[in-house]
Amino acid sequence: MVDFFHAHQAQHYLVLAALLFALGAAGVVLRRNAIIVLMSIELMLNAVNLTFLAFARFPLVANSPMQGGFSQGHAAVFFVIATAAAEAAVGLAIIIAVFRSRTSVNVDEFDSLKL
Amino acid sequence: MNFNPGDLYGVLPALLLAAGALVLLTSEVFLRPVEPDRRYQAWVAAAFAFAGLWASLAQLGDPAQPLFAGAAVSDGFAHIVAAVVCAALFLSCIVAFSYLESLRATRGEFYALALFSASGMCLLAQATDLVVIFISLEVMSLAVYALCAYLRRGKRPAEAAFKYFILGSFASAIFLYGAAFAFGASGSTRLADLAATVRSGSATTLVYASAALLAAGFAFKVAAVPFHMWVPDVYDGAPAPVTGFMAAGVKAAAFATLVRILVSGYGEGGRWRGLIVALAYLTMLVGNLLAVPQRSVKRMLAYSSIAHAGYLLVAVAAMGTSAPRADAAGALLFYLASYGATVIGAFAVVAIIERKLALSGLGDDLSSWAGLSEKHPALAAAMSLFMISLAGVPPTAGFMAKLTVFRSAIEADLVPLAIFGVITSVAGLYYYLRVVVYVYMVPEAKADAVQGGRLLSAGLAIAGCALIVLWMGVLPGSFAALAQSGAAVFGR
Amino acid sequence: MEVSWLHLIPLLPLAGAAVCGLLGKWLPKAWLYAIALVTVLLSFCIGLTGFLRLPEEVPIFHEVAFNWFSAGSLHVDMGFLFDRLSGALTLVVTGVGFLIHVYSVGYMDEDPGYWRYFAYLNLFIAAMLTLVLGDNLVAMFVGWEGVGLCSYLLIGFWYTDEEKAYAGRKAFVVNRIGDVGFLIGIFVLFNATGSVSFAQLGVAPLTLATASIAALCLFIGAIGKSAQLPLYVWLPDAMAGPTPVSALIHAATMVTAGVYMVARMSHLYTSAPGVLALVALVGALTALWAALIGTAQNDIKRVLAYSTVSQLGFMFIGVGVGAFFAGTMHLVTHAFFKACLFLGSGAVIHGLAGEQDLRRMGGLRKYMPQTAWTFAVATVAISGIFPISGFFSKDEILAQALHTKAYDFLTLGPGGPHLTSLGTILYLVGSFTALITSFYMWRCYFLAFEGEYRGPEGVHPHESPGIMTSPLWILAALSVLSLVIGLPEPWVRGSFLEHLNWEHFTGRLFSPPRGGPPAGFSPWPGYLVALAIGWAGFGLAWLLYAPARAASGDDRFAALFPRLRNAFANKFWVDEFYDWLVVRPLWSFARGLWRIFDATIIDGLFINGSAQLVAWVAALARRFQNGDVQRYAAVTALGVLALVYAFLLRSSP
Repeated sequence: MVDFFHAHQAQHYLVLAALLFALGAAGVVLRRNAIIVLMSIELMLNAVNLTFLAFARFPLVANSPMQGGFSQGHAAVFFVIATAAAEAAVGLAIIIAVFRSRTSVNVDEFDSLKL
Repeated sequence: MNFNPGDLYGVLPALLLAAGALVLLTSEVFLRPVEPDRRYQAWVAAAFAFAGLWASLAQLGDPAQPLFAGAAVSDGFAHIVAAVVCAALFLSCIVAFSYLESLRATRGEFYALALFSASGMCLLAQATDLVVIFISLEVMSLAVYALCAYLRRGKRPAEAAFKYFILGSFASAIFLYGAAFAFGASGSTRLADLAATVRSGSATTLVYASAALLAAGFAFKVAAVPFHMWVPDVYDGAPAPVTGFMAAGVKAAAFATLVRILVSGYGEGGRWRGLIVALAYLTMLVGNLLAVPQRSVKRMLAYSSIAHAGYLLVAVAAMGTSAPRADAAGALLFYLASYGATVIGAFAVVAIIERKLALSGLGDDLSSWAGLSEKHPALAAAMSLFMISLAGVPPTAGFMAKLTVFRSAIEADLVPLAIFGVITSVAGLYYYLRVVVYVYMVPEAKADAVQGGRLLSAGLAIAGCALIVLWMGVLPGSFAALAQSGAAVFGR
Repeated sequence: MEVSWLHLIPLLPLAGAAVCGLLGKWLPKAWLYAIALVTVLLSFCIGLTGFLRLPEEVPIFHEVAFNWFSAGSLHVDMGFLFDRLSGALTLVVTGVGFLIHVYSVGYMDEDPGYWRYFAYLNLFIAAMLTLVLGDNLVAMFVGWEGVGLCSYLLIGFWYTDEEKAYAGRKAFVVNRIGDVGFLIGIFVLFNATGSVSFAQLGVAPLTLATASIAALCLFIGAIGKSAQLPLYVWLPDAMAGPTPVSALIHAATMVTAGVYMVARMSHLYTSAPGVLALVALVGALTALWAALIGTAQNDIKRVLAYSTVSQLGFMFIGVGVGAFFAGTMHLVTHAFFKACLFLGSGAVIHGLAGEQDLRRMGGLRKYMPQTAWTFAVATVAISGIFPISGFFSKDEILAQALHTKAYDFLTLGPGGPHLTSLGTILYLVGSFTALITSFYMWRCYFLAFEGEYRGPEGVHPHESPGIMTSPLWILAALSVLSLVIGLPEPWVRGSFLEHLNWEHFTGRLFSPPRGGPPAGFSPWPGYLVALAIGWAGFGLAWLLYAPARAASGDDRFAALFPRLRNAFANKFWVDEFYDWLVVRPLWSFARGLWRIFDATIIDGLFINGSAQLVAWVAALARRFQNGDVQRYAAVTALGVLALVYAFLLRSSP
């Protein structure tokens, strides 16, 4: 069993993906514009895609118990991409609905619900 | 991959619900010029929900079997959860009918979205593959986000939907990251393969990191502290019938999946048990504590939903013993059903009170409940029943549910947790009974607490919920037997 | 014997409550009264029939209404158990309940919320009957919570002012503390024995530790429900509710549930002798404490409330010395005379247009003779004056305390001194309390009914209508007649009265304490002391309150004590002297007790503390739950990090 942090072909990809994921999470927490928050979430999902692909291309374990083997990682990515598209559509629609009621996409101002 | 068409029978409830959603969407397109009145849609949706309920109950006796090469499973546990979801949907459709009619907001997509989300919930309960779980999760969540934003008047619904969407997607991404790690560690996204990796003893840091991320994703959906912060705002801002459906359905599906991931994926050894115990303590404490100062009944119910997630986590923790416990799983199912019936009823009453407030875009306040018993004694009695059921006072479903959960915790050697649960649930009476006090004792402040109108269908749903709550409290035998049969897949 | 009609007893009032609560607003008044009263009366008739037909050899009716719950090893039947104890209590609950219903028809007629009132009252009776008749702890808990809920609803019935809201909250917080204990006790017992039914718990072998923990937890529940130290404070404040409610719930039935529970669980308590001693000690302390405070109260209902707390203390002494029959006997007699006293006070308040202050009453016997006479009979009973019921039941408790063998083998720590003298101490404390009881009850009577009218000018005191006075007469008669159950066994041996003797009657129901029951003592010394005490209290009250304020028109007492009367009637300094010697110290002491304990600790710490907690939590919530979605996301992210960290930490070897 190969340890996560030891020398491995996948590690560069994994570190990059982790950085992207963290960057996306930081964007969700910090950015004020609702559209950019939405994009940060997309960034997180793409970081996950990269992780899936890294593991599919440079597997850590000897063989995959699944039918189709490690290519299932590639398949997962397609599902994620499709889902992310649906998510973006719903997200944008909701942002438009919020924008209509207060002509702003500034997240800080969405605070009529509290306590 | 071999596709066996017979496997489709195993996901029949989800298919029926999805088909219902498609029927409603197409009827919206094709019938609109012919039939401008769209009230029939509520009854079509209710009919499909009932069909789903029937299908899931009919499949209950079938032997457990994997579907689609292990991506999903058809077992009693999933069928019971599906039955709870379909029953919740059925009741919510009836409640929503009168709510939307009185707000003149009946549009086609409402029921279609509800059916889609319920379809996602049913699949979620059956899924045993992380990618399938993710897709079902998104089917459920995206529809619920949209339902929250359904009412276009006022700032609150859209804002609630936005918050729910951002945080929910955030949690989904975290879950997915965990799925990717699990894939890396085991080479597979199947829970069974993951379990094999864990059992082989070659588990690495990666496996445990994935467990944490997956658990966090679903801790968010079940509203466990500290992943609970979206709950009050979303429950408060969303239309009351939607909130009731969310509280009952999303919670049931999410808990079912959490149990699947932890028990089927990360093994029966229960290394995760300590953490679930910690989450349960935290959730019971924070949920009950923060419910106390609330003056809005919806927000109070939101915190109460967090507190109930804590009690459900007690049941999950009780499953984390060396040999998995069917009685804890049965307690979980029983609790989910009883909580679902109670909370849908409670939000149905809230919906009746809220209709007027929804137009003005204001939140509700305890004062708008004053004197309800004078005008509508039956409604007041039903609300009191739901409150004491949520508080866990006999002879209601809530009491039975708490009793079984705490008992299973004691048998799993989690005595301090059970005692803490008893103490917090008794303390919870404080804020539940305050509603009863307002309903019965405070004289009416304003002249028209409740408008007349289409109370009949909501009244029927409330009566149905009240009946179930009493039935489960007084004669829980048959329900408990069902729950036990559903839980049998998790060992003795 | 298995029967199939027991469930009707609680079901009928429940049905009455449902009809009154859901349709009451639209029903004609007469119909509503008829439904509320007839359902309770029918329950009473069923109970009476069953009671008379209890088989002699095994005097038990049992009904498994349905299999309530069975999951895994937990198997709970919703069953009813009708034996001599629960049967007698059923009669008390439905009988006194019916009388109070009748009285309420007169008392609440004017109130616009009368239909809610009768719905709650019927619901209360149903819950109380469930508590009494349930054949297992869980069913008892159902009733336990039900009566608590009804009490809460009825205390706050006139929820108009802040003070009453506060009283409701107080009752609520205090009872919750007790409920936690009760629930944990059930879990402990279930965990130890695998059963919750009385039949099995009554024979289950228990280790000392388990029995002690379970008994202690259940007793915490009893302390809350039966208003014992330190949780008694809610009861005096519960007087904010309508007076018939105080009579039914806060005097005759609900508050005695704790005593009933201890008696029902006699096997458990005799298996835990340390806790048994604690029960008796708490009872004795409460009896004394509340009686002392009762001497300094001026509100007629508060006097009665403190006397209730004190009498409940007596009952706990009874069960605590292992004489379960004595405790439950006092429970029954107390139900009659205390209900009579409360309803009498209600008639006074009614006749004085809401006046509750004893200082502004006086001479009411002239205006409301029926109330005065019945009140006097009940006062005789509670002060333990021969030969009315209270004398026998209270003295049975004291005699049993004096001769008890329950503590003979109990030591204070390993190798410590034996607690053999505990029974004597209990006897002394109890006797002293009986003296004070007699004193303050007669004080109450004199201030209210004798002397000159001192009330407000415009009010014309008047007797209540017949519908309110007839229950008073019946209850007064019952207070007298119930003496037959307390007559000492040697007196009635061989006669038909033997079957009515409570000790004989409940003979096989209770487990004997570990030292065995006390045997073969003569009742006479105890009776003589008690007789002296009862009259001494009366005399003290008369000296202090009758002569000075009832200078004229008090012929009855003048005829009884002409010399005493002549000696003190016009000597004002005697009054002053007594005032200085007895009343003032007593008054300030009692006030001090009340202020330190009630006002500071309970009000300050628990009640206001809970309000503080609410404010603090609200402030905390406002800080975190400020509506900013990004703050929520940050908390979520931190939670994820914590979870990952915890998982990795646990997984590393």
